[in-house]
Amino acid sequence: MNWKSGSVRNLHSILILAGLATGCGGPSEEPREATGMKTELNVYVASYPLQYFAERIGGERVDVRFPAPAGVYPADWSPDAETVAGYQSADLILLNGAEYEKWVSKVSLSQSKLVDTSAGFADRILHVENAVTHSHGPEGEHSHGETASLTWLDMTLAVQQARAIRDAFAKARAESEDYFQGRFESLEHDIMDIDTALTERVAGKTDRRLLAAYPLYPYLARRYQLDIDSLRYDPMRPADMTANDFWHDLEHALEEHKAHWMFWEREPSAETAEKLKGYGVGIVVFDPCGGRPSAGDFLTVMKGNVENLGKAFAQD
Amino acid sequence: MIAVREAEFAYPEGGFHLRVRELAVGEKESVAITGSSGSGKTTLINLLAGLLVPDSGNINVLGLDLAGLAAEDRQDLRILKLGLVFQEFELLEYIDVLDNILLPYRITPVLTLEATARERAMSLAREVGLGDKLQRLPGQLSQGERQRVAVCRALVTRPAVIFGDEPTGNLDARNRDHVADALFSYSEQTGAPLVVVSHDPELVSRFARRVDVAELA
Amino acid sequence: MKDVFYLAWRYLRYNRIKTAVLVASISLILFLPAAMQMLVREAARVLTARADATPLLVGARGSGVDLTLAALYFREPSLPPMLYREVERIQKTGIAAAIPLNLRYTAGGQRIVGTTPEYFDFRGLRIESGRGLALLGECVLGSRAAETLGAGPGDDVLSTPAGAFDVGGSFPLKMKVVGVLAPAGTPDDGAVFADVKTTWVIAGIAHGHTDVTAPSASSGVLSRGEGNVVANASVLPYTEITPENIDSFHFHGDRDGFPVDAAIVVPPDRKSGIVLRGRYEEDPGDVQILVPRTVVDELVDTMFSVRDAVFLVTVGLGVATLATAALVFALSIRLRRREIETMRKIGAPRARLAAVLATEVLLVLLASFAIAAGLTAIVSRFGGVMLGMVAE
Repeated sequence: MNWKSGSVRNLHSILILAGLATGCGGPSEEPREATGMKTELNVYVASYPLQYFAERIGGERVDVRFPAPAGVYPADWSPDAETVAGYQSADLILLNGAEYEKWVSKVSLSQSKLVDTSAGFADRILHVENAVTHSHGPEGEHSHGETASLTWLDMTLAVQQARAIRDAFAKARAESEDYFQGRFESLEHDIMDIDTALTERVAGKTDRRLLAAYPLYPYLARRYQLDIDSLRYDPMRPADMTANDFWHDLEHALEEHKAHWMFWEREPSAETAEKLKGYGVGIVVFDPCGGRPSAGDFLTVMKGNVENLGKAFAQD
Repeated sequence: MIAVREAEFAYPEGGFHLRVRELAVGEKESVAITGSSGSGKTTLINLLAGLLVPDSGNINVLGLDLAGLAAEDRQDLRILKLGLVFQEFELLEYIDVLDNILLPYRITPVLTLEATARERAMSLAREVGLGDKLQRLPGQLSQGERQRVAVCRALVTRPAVIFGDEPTGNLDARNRDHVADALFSYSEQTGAPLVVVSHDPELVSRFARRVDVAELA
Repeated sequence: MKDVFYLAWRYLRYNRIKTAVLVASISLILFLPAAMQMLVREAARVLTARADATPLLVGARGSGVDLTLAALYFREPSLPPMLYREVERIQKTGIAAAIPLNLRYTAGGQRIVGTTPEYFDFRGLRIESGRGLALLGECVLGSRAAETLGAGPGDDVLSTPAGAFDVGGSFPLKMKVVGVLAPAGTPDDGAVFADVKTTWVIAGIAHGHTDVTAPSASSGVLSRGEGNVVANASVLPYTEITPENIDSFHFHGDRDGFPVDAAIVVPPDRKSGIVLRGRYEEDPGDVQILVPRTVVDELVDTMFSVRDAVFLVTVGLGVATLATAALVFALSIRLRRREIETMRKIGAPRARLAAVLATEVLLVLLASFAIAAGLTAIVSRFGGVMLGMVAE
C-alpha cells in the first residue's frame, strides 16, 4: 500500500468524484481536433470598413458577412441571439477594437476566433475627453471617459488593420498566403492614396480651427493635424444633446475661437445648414463610413470625403 | 419364514447378553414378544430386522441367513422385504403425509416410485382414516395420526414380514386400535407374519402367540 | 437423482428463513468484492478518461489535486482565482488555445461553470433542446442540472448568493435558460454553463442600469408560471440582464485583472504542449501548469490501495461467513439425527443420505452464486449510474 501524503484526505472526494464523473459509462471524451477543411474561410466582421478590407484581401477565398442592418450605426448596434449564433459559426471574427463594438462584451464568442485589428497599435489608441456636455437630466453628469473608436479614419492605422486581417487570413489558410498578400498590397496602395490626398488637402493649413458636430474624428485630427473641437450633437441621438443645447454650445465654442467649418457625418437638414450659415459656419460632410454606404464602397466614400474636405480648405 | 437357532448377542460395552435358543414364526402368524424392561425385547427385534448381527448362531429371515449378509444386503432386505414400525422412527417434518408414506421409494436406488406405489399409498392412507389429509405436514397431525402414517410407510412396499417395536407407544385406545387393525389386516391379507414387541396388554391380547424373551434363553 | 433433489429442495423450502439467511450471507460475501472491484475499476476508468481528455490545466499556485478536482469535476475551488491575463498569456503564445473556467458560484446547488463557447466543442457537448449561449446573462444547463433544477429553455435560474450579509458583494443574478445539453455521462451533466463574462457580473465586476427587482428566495430557481416566492427575512434582491438593459452593462477595469479559477489549455499537438510547459517552467509567474492525467493517476493509485485493503477485509469476512454457514449446517444435521437414523434403519444407504445432505448444501451454494452473479451483472451494467447516485 502506498499512502501518499495528503491524498488520503481526498479519498472521500475521489469516490464522490468518480460518481460525479460518471453518467452511464460516458461516451468518449476525445478533445476535438481542427477539422482542417480547406474550403472558403467564413469570416464575420463588426464594421463596414472591416468588411471592405476583408473582401479586398480575401477575394473569392473568403466569405465575408456583416450582419448589421443598413442604416444603423454599427457602433450602436448589438446582434440578437440568432445573429450571435452566426458569429459563433464563423472561422474568424474581425473586430475593430478600441471599444468600437461594445456588444462584444455582452455576447458569447470563442476567444480564439476573435481578431482585434487594432491590437497592433494599442499604445496609440485615443480617448475622447468629455465633450462639452450639459446634462440636465435627472442622472446628472455621467462621465464614462470614452475611447475613440473610429481608428480607420487615420489611413495609416487603416492599413495596419488591413495588415492584421491579412495575417489572420494567412494563419488560417497558409496555402493562400501569397494570394492574400498580393491583394493586400493592392488595398494598401489604394488606402495610402487616400492618405496622400488628405495630407495634400490640408497641407499648410493645419492651424485652421475646426468644429465637429459629434466626436468622430480624433484619429483623423491626429493624423492630418486638424484642430477639431467636437460637440456632441446628432439628430439621431437626441439623448446625447438636444438641438437647443447644440446651438447653445456652438455659441460658446465660437466665442472661444472662431471656426468656419463644421464636420458632419451626413448632410444636416436645410434648416440647420441655414442656421449654421448664419453663424458663419460651413458644412464639411465627412462620412466615417462605419456602416455600409447606400452607394459606392469604402474607397468611393473616402474619396468623396477628400473632395469635401478639399472644397472647404480650398475656399479659405 | 423366520427361524432363530442358538443365537447369542452381547453389546460391545458389555452388561447385557441375549440368548435365543429357538424361535420360529411362520406365514400368517402373529407373535407378541413380551418381557420386563431391559430384558432384551428391542435387541431381539433389531436382530430379527437385521439391524444388529448375532455374535453366534443363526437368524434366518425369508430363507436368508442374516449373519452371513453384508450390511448393504441387510439394508436392501429391510427396505424391500421388511416393514418396520418402530416407536423411535420419525416422520420427515418437511414433506407431506403422502410423501412420508412413499419415503422408502425415495431413499433407496433399489425401489422405483411408480404410479402403483402411489395408489397403494393412498389406499393405505384411506384405510387408516387419513385419506383426506394426504397434503398435510406432520406438524399438522396428532400423535395418533403420525403413528398411522408410520404404519402406512412400513406397509407401502408390500413387505413380506412386519416387525414392530412398541408400535402403539403412547397412543390412546382408539388410535391403538387403528394401528393394530391396520397391521393385522395387512397380515391377514398378505400372509405376512407379524412380530411385535409390546408391553401394552390390550395390544398383546390380540396376538395369537405370546413369547417372553426371557423364556427364549 | 430426482428423489435426492426432491428431498433436499423440500427441506430447504420448509426451512425457508434459514435457507434465505444462508443464501443471502453467502451471496453477499461473493458479491461484495466483485462489485467493489468493478466499481473501483469503473471509477478509475471514468476519472482517467476525463483527465485524458484534458491536455493541460493552468491555475493559481497550490495543490494540483485541488486544481484538477475543481476544473475537471467542478468541485468548489479551494485555490484563489488567477487573473484573466494568464488566459491571454496562453492565447498570445499562438501555440495553444486557452478555455477559461470560473467555478466559484452555484445555482440551486449546481455548479455554475463560466466559460466560452470553445468549451462545448472541446468536450463534445451537444444541445438537445433550445440553443447555445449567445448573450450576457444566459445559461445552458447540463441534462442532470436541468432535471435537478426542474428548468428548461425559457425558465430562469438564480445564482446562489454568497451570503446573506455579503455587504460588499453582488446580488444574485437571474439567468435565462436558453438551452439544455444532451446527456454526456460526465460532470458536465450537472453544470449550469454561462459565459465567463456572466460570472463576472455575478462577481460584481460589471454593472448596468438595472432595476433591482422583487426579492427572491435563495433556492436558486425561478420559472415562469411558478407561484409567488415566499419572502422571508433572508431574501435578497437580485440582478437581471434583460434586452432592455443589456446595453447599459459594462465592466469596470481591465479584463486582464478579472478572476478565473482555471484554464483548460489545448495545444494542437504534443510538441506544442511540451514547449508551453517548458515556458512555464522557466517563468511560472503566479500560476501552475499541470497535466491532469498525472494528478488523477496518483488519486487512482490511492483508490486501488484502499480497494486492496478492503478486499482483504472482505476475504476475512468471507471466510468467517463460510465457517458460520458450515457450523449452521453441522448443527442442523445434529438436530436431524433421529430423522436420518430412521431413514437408515428403514434401509437407506449411507450414500443416499449423504447425497441428500450434500445436495442441500449444493442448492444453497448455487442459489448464492446465482444471486451474486445477478447482482454483479447489474453493477456491471449500471455501475456508473450507481456511482453517480451515491455522489449526489
